[in-house]
Amino acid sequence: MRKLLLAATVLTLSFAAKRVQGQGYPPPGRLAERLRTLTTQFKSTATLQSLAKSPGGHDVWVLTLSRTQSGSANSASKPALAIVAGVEGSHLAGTELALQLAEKLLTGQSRDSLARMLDAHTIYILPLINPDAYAQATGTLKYERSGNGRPTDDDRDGRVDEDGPEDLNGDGLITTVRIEDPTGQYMVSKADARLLVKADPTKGEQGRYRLITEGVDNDKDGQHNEDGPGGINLNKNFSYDYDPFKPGTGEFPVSETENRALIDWFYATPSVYAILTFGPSNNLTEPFKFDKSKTTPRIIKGWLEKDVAVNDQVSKLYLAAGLKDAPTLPAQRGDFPQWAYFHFGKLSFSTPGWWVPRVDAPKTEAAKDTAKTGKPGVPPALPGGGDTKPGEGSDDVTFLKWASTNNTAAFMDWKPITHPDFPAQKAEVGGLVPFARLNPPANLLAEAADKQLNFIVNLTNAMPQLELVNVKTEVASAGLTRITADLHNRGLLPTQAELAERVRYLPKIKVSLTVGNGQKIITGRPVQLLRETIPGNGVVQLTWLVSGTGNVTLEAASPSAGTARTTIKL
Amino acid sequence: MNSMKNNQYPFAFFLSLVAVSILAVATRAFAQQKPTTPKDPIGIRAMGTPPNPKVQISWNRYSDYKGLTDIMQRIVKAYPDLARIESMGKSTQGREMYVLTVTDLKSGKTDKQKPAFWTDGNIHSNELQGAEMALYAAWYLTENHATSKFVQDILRDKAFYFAPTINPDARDDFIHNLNTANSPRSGLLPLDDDGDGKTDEDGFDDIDGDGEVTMMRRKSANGRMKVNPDDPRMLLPARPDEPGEYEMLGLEGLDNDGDGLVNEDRPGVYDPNRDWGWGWQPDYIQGGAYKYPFSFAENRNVMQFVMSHPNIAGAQSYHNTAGMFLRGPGAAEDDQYYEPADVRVYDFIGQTGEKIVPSYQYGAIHKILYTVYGGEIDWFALSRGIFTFSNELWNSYQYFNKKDSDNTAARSGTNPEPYDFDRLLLHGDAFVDWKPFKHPQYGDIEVGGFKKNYLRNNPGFMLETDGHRNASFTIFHAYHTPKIEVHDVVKRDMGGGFSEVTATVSNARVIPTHSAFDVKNKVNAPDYVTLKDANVAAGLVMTNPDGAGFGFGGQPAFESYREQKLTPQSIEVANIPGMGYVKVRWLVKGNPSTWNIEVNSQKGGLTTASGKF
Repeated sequence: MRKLLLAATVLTLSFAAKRVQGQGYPPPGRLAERLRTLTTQFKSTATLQSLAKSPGGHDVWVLTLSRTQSGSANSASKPALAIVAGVEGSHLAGTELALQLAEKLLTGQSRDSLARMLDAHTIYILPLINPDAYAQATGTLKYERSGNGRPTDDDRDGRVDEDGPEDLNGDGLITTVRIEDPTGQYMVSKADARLLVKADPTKGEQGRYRLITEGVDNDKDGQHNEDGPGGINLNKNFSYDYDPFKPGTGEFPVSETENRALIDWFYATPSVYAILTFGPSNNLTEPFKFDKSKTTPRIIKGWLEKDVAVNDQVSKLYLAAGLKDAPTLPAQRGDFPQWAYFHFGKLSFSTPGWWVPRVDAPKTEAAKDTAKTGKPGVPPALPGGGDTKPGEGSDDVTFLKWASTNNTAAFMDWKPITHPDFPAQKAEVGGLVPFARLNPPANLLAEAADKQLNFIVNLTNAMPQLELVNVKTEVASAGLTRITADLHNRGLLPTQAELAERVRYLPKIKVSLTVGNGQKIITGRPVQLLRETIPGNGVVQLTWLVSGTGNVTLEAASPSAGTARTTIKL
Repeated sequence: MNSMKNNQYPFAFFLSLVAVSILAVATRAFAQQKPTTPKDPIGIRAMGTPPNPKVQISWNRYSDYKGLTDIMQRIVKAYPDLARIESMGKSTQGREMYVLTVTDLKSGKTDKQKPAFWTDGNIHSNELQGAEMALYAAWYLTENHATSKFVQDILRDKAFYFAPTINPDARDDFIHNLNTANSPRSGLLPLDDDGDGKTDEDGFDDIDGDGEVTMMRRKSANGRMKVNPDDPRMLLPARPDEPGEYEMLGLEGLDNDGDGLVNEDRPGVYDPNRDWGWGWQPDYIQGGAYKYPFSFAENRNVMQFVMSHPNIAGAQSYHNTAGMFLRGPGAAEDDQYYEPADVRVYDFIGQTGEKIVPSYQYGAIHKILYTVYGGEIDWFALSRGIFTFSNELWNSYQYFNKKDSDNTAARSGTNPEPYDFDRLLLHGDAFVDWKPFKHPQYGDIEVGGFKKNYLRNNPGFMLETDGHRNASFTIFHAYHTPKIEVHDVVKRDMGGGFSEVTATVSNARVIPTHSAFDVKNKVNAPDYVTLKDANVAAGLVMTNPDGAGFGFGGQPAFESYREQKLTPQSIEVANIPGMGYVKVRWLVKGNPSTWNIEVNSQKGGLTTASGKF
C-alpha cells in the first residue's frame, strides 16, 4: 500500500524535492571550501582556524578578517567585532549571511569604508557553531534539527535516539502528518486551506485533526519522534537561564565541545568589543527596555541601564542600515546571545538577519491567526524537539503568500498515507517545507547581506576609541612636575558594557606612566587599571606628580577600545 | 523499627533485615568468609580498632600527594580482593587523580553492579583532613573485613569510591609552599587576579625566613588593636574610647611587582567548589567561578567519573570547618527541588550524623552556612540525583567541648580558645611568636601568628577520633543506599492458556533508587525488572501500592496496574522507594513451573533471583 502511494506521488514529490534541494545552502564540507577559498584569495586579510571538531566530525571555524599589510597592528591587537552564526543549526540563513558578509567584505576592500574598517578593526566571523545540526539540511533526509551529533536520551526514558522521524512518503523531507480524529485539536485555517490552526473552543471552533511530525511512535510511548538522532541544541546549552532536563539542553550547561570551544575562544580573544549573533532572537529591531527590578537582585535578569541606552543607540544604527520590520523574537533559555551579555559581560546584539518582508494588508484571517499565537517568526516544529506544536505559528499565511510570489518551495500538499499507528484513520503527509520559514533560497540573501554589511560598518565606526588629550605639565615646585591628561573616548559607544565593570576576567584599561633614570613618580601609580566604563565622548582625568627631568611615556591601552600613547616632557 | 525513629544506629534493625533476607524466596548466596576473632599480638584489642593492621598508618599526621598515593597503594597491595586503585585523569599540573575502590571484588558482582558511595576530600586544598579521613574510612573497611560480619556484608553489597584529594596540586602547594590556614583553597590554574596581564606574580613572602606565613603588625599610637592581657600573643580591638597600640598590616608579604599592593596575585585564587553544573553563576555573581561549569581539570575528571558511574547512590564531600553535615541546596531558590520525601531521607541520615559526631549540626547549605551557587553538592544531588552531604570537619567545640564556642571567630583567631588550646595542650607548637622585622615597604614591624596547619585542620591527637566518627557517618549513609530484594513471586492461572506472574520488589534501606526529584525530572534511567526465560504477552507495573492510595468514598484502593507496551518482559519502574516496594506483573503464555527475575537498577544494583512456583 505504501509503495503504491509512493509510486503515485513520486512525480510531484520529486519536483518539489528538487526545488527544495535547490535552496543553495552548501553542505558543511562545501562551506569549509568556501572559507578556504577566501583565505587563499585574500591571504593577507583572511585567516582560518578550527576551534573544535563537533561530535559529528565537522570543524567549527573562525575566520579572521583584518588588513595588516599596511599598518603595524596585527589582527589580535585591534578592537574587534565578532559575528557568530549557526548556534541554532537549523538557521541556515544566518550561516549563509555570515559567509556572504565575509565574501563581500573581502571582495569590496576597494571601498573606502570597508578598507578603513579592516584597517582599524578585526572582524571575526564564526559562521557555523553547530555543523552537525546544519548538515541535516544538506543531507539526504532533510528536517529541522537543532541537536548536534551527540546521542542523547531526549525524553529521558532510558533509551537513546530510539524515536526519530521517518520519511513515510519517501520525499526526502520530514514534514507533518495530519490524522482525521474527532479528538484532534487542529482545524483547517480559514486564511489558507493548506494550513492547520489550533481550534479555539471559546469561539465555537472544533478540532478535526491530530497533527504530528512525520514518523511513527517507535517506542510506543504515545509521542511521535520525541527522541531522534542527536543531540544537544547548542543554543539551549549555555549557562545563562539554563533549563535542565529538557529535550536538547544537555546534562548540564556548556556540556558540549562546540560551546566550550566557543567560550574558550572568547576568553582568549580580549579584543572583541561586541558580539553580533545571527539567530532566532532579536534585540536590534526593538531594543531592550530598562527594568530596574530585574537588575537589582544578585542574579540579574535584565540589561543594566547604561547598556539599554547603548542597545537603543545600536538599534538606531541597525534601522538606519535599511533593516526594518524584523519580527520580534524573544530570547530563549540557555541561548548564546544571553550568555554573551549576562555571563561574559559583552554588548550582545542578535538578529535573524533575514525575515519575510512585511506586507501591509488589511486585517485578514491571517492577521488574526498571528494575533492568536503572538509568536510570529518562531521556528516551526522541530522533529525530535518534543513539545513543539506544528502549524501553530501563524504568520505561516504571510509566509506562504510571499513564497508563492518568490518561487520558493514552501509547502508540501497533503497526500494520503497509511500510518501504522493510525491504521483505521485517514492520515495525510504534508506541511511546511523544513527550513523554508527561516531560510529563503540562499540567492535571496544578497540584499540582506548588503544591508547587514552597512550595519557592521556603522557599528564599527561607532566603536570606542581611546585618545589622550589636554596633556598638561605644570611645575609644582622646582624639579617636580604635575602631569594631567584627559583620557578621552572619542567613539560614540562606551569603552565596554556597564556590566563589564563587574566582570573579573574582562580586561581593564591599563594606564601606564613609564619613567626613566633620575625620574620618580611621587604620587599616582606607575600602572593603574581602570575598571570603570568611559562613555561615548566621555573622559577620565589622570594626574601624577613626577620628579626629575626629561621625557616620560604615558600609555592607555585596552584590547577592545584601542591604545593611546604620548610622550611628555617634564 | 523504633530504632529508626530514634535515629539510633539500628542494630536490632540489622538483625531483622538478616531475618528478612533469610526468609526471602531467593537471594543469591555467595560463599562468604566466616568472621574471625581479631587478636592483638601484644595485649588486648581496643574495641573498634584493628589490633594488628596489615597496613600500618599513623593517623596523627598529614600526608602530601605522594604520601596519600603511597597509603592507597599499600591498601591495594595488602587487600587485592577488596581494593583497587585507578586514575580519574590528570590534574592541572599533571598529577594523576586516584580513586580507591573498596568493595568485595570476589562477590560475583562488579562494582558497577552494586550501589556505590562516593567520597571525596580536599576540594579546598587547605582543608587537608578530608583526605586523611577518607583514607581512614578505606583503611577501616579493609582492615576489619576479615573480622566483622557487618563490614563483610556492606562490602559484598556496596562499592565505595574514595577520592582522598580532588585538588592534589594545591594540596602539595599548601603543604610545601608558603601559605596560611586559608590558602590556597583554590586549585593552581594560573590566573591574573589583579588584571595586570601577569599571573601569580605577587604571592606571600616569608620575610623573616621561618618557613611560615603569619601576620604583620606595627606599633602605632593610631592603631585600634591592643594586646590581650590574658595572652599577650593575641590582639584585641581596643574599646571605642580607648587608644590602641597596634595596627594590622595583613599577611606576611611584600609588594613584589611594585604596583602598590601586597600579596594581591597569588597562585590560583578561584574556588573549585563554585565550578559545578547546577545553578552555576559567573564570578561576578558567585565569586570564585570561572568560565563555565567544570572549567577546572580536577572537577571535570570527577564529573566524568560520576557520569560514567551511575551506580553512585550516595556521596559525601569532606571539607572544613564548622562541624556540619550539609545537604543542598546551596541557594534558597532551589529549596523547591527538595521534595518532602527526599528531605525525610536527608533528615534521617543527617540527624543520625548529629549523634555520631557530637556537636555537628545538620542542615541545608544556604540555611546554616551561606549561599553557594555552582557547588559540588548541588550538582551531585540535583543534576545527578545522588543523596549527598558536605561534611564540614572540625569545629571550635572540640577545643574545650564548649557548646557555645564561636567557630567563625576561632577560625579567624578572634576567639581566645585557639590560643588557650595551643598554650595548654600544644604547649605553643601552633604559634610563631611575634618578632621585630624591618619591612622594605612598611618599616619597623612585627611578624607572628598561628601556623598554617592550625585553626582549620585537626591537631594530631584528635585526627583519628574525628576520622573514625566521620567514617562511621559515611558508612551509615552508605549502608542506607538501596538494597533490592525480590520476593513473593506468585502465579495465577488466567485461563485461555495464560498465566499471571506477580513479583514484589522491595528496598530494604532508607534511600530510594530514585529521589522524588529524580522521578519528577527523569534524571536517571528507570529500574528494569525482567522476567527471564518466559513467553511474556503483556507487562504491567503497579501504579499504587496496596492501601496507599484512597479510592472513591475514602476507601482504601487496591493496587492498580498500568500496561507497558514496549518490551513487556522488562518492566520499567520509576522508583523503588526506601523501605518500600513495588509489584510488577506479567501475563505469560503457558504455565511455567519456575521463574527467573533480574532487577537492574542504576542505584540499586543488579539483583537476580529465581525459584519454583
